[in-house]
Amino acid sequence: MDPFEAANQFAQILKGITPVLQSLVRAAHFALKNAESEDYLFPTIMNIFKDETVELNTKSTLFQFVEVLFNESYFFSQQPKYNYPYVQNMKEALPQILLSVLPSSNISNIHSAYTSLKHITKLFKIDCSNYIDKFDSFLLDADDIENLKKDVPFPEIDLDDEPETVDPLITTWNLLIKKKKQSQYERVRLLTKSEILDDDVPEDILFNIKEKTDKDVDKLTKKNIISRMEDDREAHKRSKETLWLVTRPPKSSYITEDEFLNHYWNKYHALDVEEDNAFLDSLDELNQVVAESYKDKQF
Amino acid sequence: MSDRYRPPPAGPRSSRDFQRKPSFKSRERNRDRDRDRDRDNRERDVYKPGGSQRDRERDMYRPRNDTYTPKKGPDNHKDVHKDTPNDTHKDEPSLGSKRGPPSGPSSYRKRRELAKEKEKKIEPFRGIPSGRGPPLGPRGGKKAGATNQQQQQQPKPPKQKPQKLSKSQIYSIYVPGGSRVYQRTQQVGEGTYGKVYKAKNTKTNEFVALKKLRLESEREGFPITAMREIKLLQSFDHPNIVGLLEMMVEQNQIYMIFDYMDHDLTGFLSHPDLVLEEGHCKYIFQQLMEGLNYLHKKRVIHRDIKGSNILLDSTGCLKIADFGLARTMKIVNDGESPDYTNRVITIWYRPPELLLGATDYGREVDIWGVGCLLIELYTKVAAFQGFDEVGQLCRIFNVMGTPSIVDWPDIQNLPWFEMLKPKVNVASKFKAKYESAMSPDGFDLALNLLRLNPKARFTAEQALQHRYFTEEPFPLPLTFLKDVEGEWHEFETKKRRRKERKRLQDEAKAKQNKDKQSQGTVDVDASLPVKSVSEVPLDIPQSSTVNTVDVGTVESNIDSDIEIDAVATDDKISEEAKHPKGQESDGYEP
Repeated sequence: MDPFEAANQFAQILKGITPVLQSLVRAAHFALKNAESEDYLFPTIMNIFKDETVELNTKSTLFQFVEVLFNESYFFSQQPKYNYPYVQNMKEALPQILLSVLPSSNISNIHSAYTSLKHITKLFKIDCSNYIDKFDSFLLDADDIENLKKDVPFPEIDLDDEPETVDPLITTWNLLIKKKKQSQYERVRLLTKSEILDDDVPEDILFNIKEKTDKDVDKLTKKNIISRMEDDREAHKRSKETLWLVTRPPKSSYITEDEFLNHYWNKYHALDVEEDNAFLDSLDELNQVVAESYKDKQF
Repeated sequence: MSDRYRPPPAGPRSSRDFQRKPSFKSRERNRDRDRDRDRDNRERDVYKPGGSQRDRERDMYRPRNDTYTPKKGPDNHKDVHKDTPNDTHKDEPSLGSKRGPPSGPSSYRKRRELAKEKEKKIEPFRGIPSGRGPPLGPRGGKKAGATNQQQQQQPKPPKQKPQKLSKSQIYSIYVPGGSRVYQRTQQVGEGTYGKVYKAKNTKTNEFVALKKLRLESEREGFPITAMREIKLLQSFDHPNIVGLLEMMVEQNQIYMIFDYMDHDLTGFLSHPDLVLEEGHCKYIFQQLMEGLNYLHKKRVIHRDIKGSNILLDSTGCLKIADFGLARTMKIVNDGESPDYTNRVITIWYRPPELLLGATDYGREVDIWGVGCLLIELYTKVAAFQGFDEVGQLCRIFNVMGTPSIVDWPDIQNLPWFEMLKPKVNVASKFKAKYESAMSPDGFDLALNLLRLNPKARFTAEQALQHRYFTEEPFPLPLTFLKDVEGEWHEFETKKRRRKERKRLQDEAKAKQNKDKQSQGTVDVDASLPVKSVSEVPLDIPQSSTVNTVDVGTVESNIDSDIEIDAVATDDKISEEAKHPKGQESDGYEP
């Protein structure tokens, strides 16, 4: 397929993408199969993120797609034919992508972006535990409290303020933490500075819901919110469907359950001391391999 | 590498390199090894299932006499097995074929007795005696066992001439429906799981509830969620938890059989003449908390607490039912999340943390539900009646107030908090709305059960120690219940309400037509006294009763305004909708 045609098709696929896992994987596979056209396909992804008419829900889904693409690219690259396509480009663009998924007027997608970023960071084998701890904690410091007293709004978060020398993945984490801090700051500001209403408040006043007349694409309608919830639930359910899979060490030599069982099944005589020791050693080894192969921690 | 997106590997599960195809050599080695193993199996395997594939598949679903093994009287099986036609050709199976369900008694002793019996006399199949159709299992308990034994002691009918049926004829055996042990009388409930019927045990004349599992939509065999429910029910033994009497397979349908309970809490509270005194409310709520405390002590979360799942019998005994969404809690280490499904609990009784996407919740989700029910006992209307997640959370915040950072610091870490973050501060109206409707102790208990922050909510144990139960007036048994006419379930209440609504709509239509005729070309919409059909939410009452804050004073007001003002602002909770739409949470998790 010529690059131009591939880019066209890819744009169509991305516009029709749904948060269903199969849809994300299908799009990622298309990108990887046309990896030689990366120079055309990668800008297609970025164009959609930059497009201001694209709904925020779609952008959030696209961020999940980016996560899947990272993941699939690593997996494809186990074959010598592939050399981590898209990985470098996407990593460089991650801070920009994050800011388009979390525009300043609405950071509804912060939690799903956080989950995706955690998975992406794991792929790069970078330790992000301090960022995870930060994300879950109260981030406001003395300066912020001082600003709150003065009722100063939180400063705009801009990519240009970030140092360029830092790894883009770390920059992305820093931006995410800043966004979270902004949210906490504004919430405290609301709680301390705004009046408390005694009357009943309708949904659209209580929450940040887009009205029919509202032109702001960064806001979510009530329908958007409910479908987002349903999609998240579905994704959560699907993520558990492969929990039973086990990962065994790909190269090293170890005994399998079959070999172990067949070997001892075919023995009729009593085991002498040496054989008995061998038996216990093999059993220990087998147990260890099995214990390590579960994805979710066993107790 | 995170491989949560990886499809299952195609290769053999336990081979060393499951992602790589085995080489020719290793295939050959495996084949030899398998052959050896097969030979061993031939020598050693004892169990040999029999019959053709078709026979066995049919047997899986065929109503059998031996689906239930009562604890006493192994002799039952002698009788039962004699009548089972397929056992005669079940002895010589082909190796490696799919194994049918075990058909014999489970214990070794019983199997040996059965084998002896068979040795003595192998009778040819004579068809199912017309007097006894499936199911034949006793209902459990002493009485039922006795019935079965009595049956066996009855003199056998004179021997008929053996009539041997060919295999093809076996399929056309007619099983008379009239001879069933349980005779259905009426439907009393319905949900995503299936239907619930009231039925009478013709042997003991006792009523039972048959919960028919819906299997038509199951493509993957017996639903694992039903397995979970059965397993949980079997592990319970408490007066305030519904008891599973037995399972029954009849005509390709699977039933769970429970003691029959005359009312459910939603139906019961909809009784127009119901007057509940403080002691009565305490008696009902104490039983509910005892049941819930038992579940929570056993590390079980119910996850579908609502009025229609709380059953009452005519003596006032309360039982918690429907464990279709229940699960035991995971044991997790520090810092780990249990990660349960978020799609649980009927929306009116769903706590705020679930509405904000929590997946690491605990027993507190049930506590919110019973808190709602405590209010409902006094006001007879559900406290928070939303139509969807957004509306539900809005109603909760409007009554309880938006949470401050001190109230609920962890709210900011919930997945959907940014999506549904309040952008204004709302004051709590809980006190103004409910304090006068409830007793002071009741109000204080409700306040502690309905804390927005799940960590601040009372546990079931704490609730039981609350002065609500220890101070006067003490819990008072519901002796008046035996005099209540009829049975009050949400199912029938809804039916009645639908009927009433239809009547109102018909009346409105008739009036409309009349107006049209008399006024000529008047704009019909403007003169409509009632909302159009499509505008009226399905299960919301438009009529019947209006409750005032005076407990138990219920007055009939059929012509009241049908519009629902779910967020009433004044003290009087009047003209509110009364019952949740039957929104069923059907999220299950592996």
